[in-house]
Amino acid sequence: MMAAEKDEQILAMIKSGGNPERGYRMLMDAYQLPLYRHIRRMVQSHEDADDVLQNTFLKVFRNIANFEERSSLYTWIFKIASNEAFTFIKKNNRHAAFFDKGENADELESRSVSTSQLNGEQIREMLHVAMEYLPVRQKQVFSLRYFEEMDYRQMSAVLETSEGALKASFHHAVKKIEDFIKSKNLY
Amino acid sequence: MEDLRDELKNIGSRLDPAGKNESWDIPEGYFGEMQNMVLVQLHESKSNRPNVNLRNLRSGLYAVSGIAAMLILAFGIWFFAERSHSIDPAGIQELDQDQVYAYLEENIDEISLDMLMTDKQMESEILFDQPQSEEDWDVLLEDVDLHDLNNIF
Repeated sequence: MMAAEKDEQILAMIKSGGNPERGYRMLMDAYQLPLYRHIRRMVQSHEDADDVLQNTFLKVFRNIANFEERSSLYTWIFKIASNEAFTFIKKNNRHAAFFDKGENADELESRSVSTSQLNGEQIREMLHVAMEYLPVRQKQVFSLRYFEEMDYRQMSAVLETSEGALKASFHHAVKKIEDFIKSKNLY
Repeated sequence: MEDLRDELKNIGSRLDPAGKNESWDIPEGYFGEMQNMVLVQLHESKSNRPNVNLRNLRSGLYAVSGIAAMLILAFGIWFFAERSHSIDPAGIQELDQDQVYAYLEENIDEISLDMLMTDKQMESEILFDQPQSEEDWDVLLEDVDLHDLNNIF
């Protein structure tokens, strides 16, 4: 089944009021993994990601009756998740700004750099360490574009930013990550 | 995917989109527990939410507004009544001279001087001065009945 058709089925199930709980579970089944990954890239710890993910789904279910389907369900849900993650980071001051290390960056960094021959997993860890140095909005842009491969039109709806600004932001994020990895002599 | 590869190539990045797996593990059974938690919280918030009927709310607002308007009106009446009472307690300012004279003529038998004058005015009133001449005495005793005088003494 195509994603759009599945979204329509989920919405009909929830909005008709016949069996909303089944609709809620279908929606969570469809979106929990990509949302969890997106949120986890922002907040880093599983416990924080769990908090934000639960809040995201609660907000989605409480407002889905008012969802006017001007955008796709996928875009709408990612928008809520991005805002929830952003609010959580700001509230808990757990955002790792550029040159301001995140809470587990040291551990990952030392683990990654201590090995001269890096395997695929260590390179991925290094990428996540580098992401820790990005400002939160830039991190969101990088996550949506690089990991979720979302197109700029959708990203623009999710982050409420112009496509041009998003392209520039992604460009800067990639450059910062490259510079970080180069500075660790990984290239 | 091709768009992303091209874009990264243009930026000059060597980040390989193929190696995008995450470096963390998700605890086993996490999503099932998370779904249950979300649904429990959703049901709790729905059952705790007060059932607000807009129609009831509107009639309640009308009732509160009505009571408030009545209180304001009552206070306004009381306030202006107090104010006018303190300025002109007997409402004398509203009477013209002819009305006062007419009233006095009609009720002259029932009105005593102390109703019309203050104590100071009474003391200074010439009528209470000692009569100066026999004529004054005659005027004062003109209507006096001897029988009344006997009762006094």
